[in-house]
Amino acid sequence: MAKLLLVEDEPVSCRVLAKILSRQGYLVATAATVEALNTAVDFNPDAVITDWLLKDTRTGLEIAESVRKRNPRAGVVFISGLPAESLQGKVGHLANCRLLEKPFHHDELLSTLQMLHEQQ
Amino acid sequence: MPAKHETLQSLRNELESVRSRLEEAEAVIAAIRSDEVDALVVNTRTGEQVFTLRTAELPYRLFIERMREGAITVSDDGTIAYANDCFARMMRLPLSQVMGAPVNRFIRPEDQSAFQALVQIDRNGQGRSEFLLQAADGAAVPVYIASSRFSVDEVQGTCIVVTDLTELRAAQEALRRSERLASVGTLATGIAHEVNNPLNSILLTARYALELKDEPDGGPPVMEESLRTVISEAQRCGRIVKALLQFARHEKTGKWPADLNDAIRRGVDLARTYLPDCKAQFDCTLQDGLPPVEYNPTEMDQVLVNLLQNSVQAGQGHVHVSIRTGRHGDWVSLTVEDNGPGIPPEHLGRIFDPFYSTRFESGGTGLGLSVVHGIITDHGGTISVESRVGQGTAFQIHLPVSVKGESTHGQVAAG
Repeated sequence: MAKLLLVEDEPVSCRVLAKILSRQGYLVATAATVEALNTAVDFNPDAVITDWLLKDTRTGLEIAESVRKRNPRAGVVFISGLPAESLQGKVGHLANCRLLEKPFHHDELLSTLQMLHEQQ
Repeated sequence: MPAKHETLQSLRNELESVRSRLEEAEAVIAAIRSDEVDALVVNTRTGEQVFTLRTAELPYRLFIERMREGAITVSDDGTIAYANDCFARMMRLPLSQVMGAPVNRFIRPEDQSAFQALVQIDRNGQGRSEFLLQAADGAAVPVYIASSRFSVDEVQGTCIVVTDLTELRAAQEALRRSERLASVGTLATGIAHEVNNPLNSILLTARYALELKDEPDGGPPVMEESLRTVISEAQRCGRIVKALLQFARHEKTGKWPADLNDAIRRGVDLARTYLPDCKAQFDCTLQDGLPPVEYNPTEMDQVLVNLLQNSVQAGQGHVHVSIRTGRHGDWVSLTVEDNGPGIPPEHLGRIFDPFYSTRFESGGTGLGLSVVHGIITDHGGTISVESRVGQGTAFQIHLPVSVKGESTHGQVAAG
């Protein structure tokens, strides 16, 4: 069973996304902000879905980097309410990663995860 | 009949002679002004007298006549005894119609007393102020006035240098417009981010409820919970849009001189109404007898409510807020100080930026303090903040003492 780390400080989105992903058979760990850095190491996920702008002024990039320290092949999906083109330059250099603009359909997220899994 | 005809003819001749002498006099004055004449020969009872114009005073006269600022001398009965050409052009009248005219002709009725205050009430002093004059065609001319009193040979009056601020004002307005336009891009990204987050929650929740409607673990309870989520997230979108409109509706509003303490008392009462469940304590220490400041009451209420709301939300209700007023020279100050958690230094520089908030999840929109900043700046005032983490935050506002209000006050006191 694939392990997913979900980092999202919007409580409603976080709750619903976790339910949706669990129903699809993923093992999901959720975290908001700083604790995500520790969870990332302990849980060792196959992929991480992370909000770009986190409340404690960290960005999803830091989360992705800490996940990849343990598992360099982990897939990364950045989700953000900001326009994708404003983030492209900041994550363009990362392999095996995707950007999803909010609001997104959960089918989009599932197919993105599938695509990352196939590339691994 | 012939007698009457002759009288008429002699009057005509006399008029003609007066006209030609007047023209001659005007030509002489023009020649003196343009520096074409060095001396005047005048017939007096004791014979011809020569007046030399090229005296040591020539440089002064040239300076006043040629300078690109208006200059007038106003005698104490309000007559313009002297004006230079630049001032006449500013008022869009021939120089001959400016000299000898009452100075009030160029001052709007509602500004007359303020003008008097500036040039006469303080008879020994020197006045400096921005002012709005009225040109002959009715156009308002923003000017900067510097006046000083004089007293020569029992004649008293005021010398005034008048600087036309029309071009400066237009340049400032253009700069403000371009700054506003530049911030639209930042603002649009901010709006997108703030609205897309609740929209995402709505979309995901609704789809999830739909998917589960016929499942054993779905049905009415999941549906009800989802609908409640959708409603509250939609309301959040509504709040963001409302706050944005309030921010965008930044139109010029009416201001008039009044006691700032009145606005403080009203604002504190309003805040108590807006924040009914909070356990915050508001303490007012308002200095009596403050000089009036010009403000828009509704906007000043909003300043108070936003600042108090900020303190209350940062302190999560249990906070002590001290509200103080005072006078510092030409400024009236307002301090709003709390003993809340304080603002970390890395946030301090950005708290007045639109859409900057650390409390989105608790209903903050990131516009409250930027609205406060906008209102205070529009009132010609300043706002600054000092904060220590763990100790509290103090906002300090300074508003200029009203010139209009001061003059009314002064006249009442003098009368």
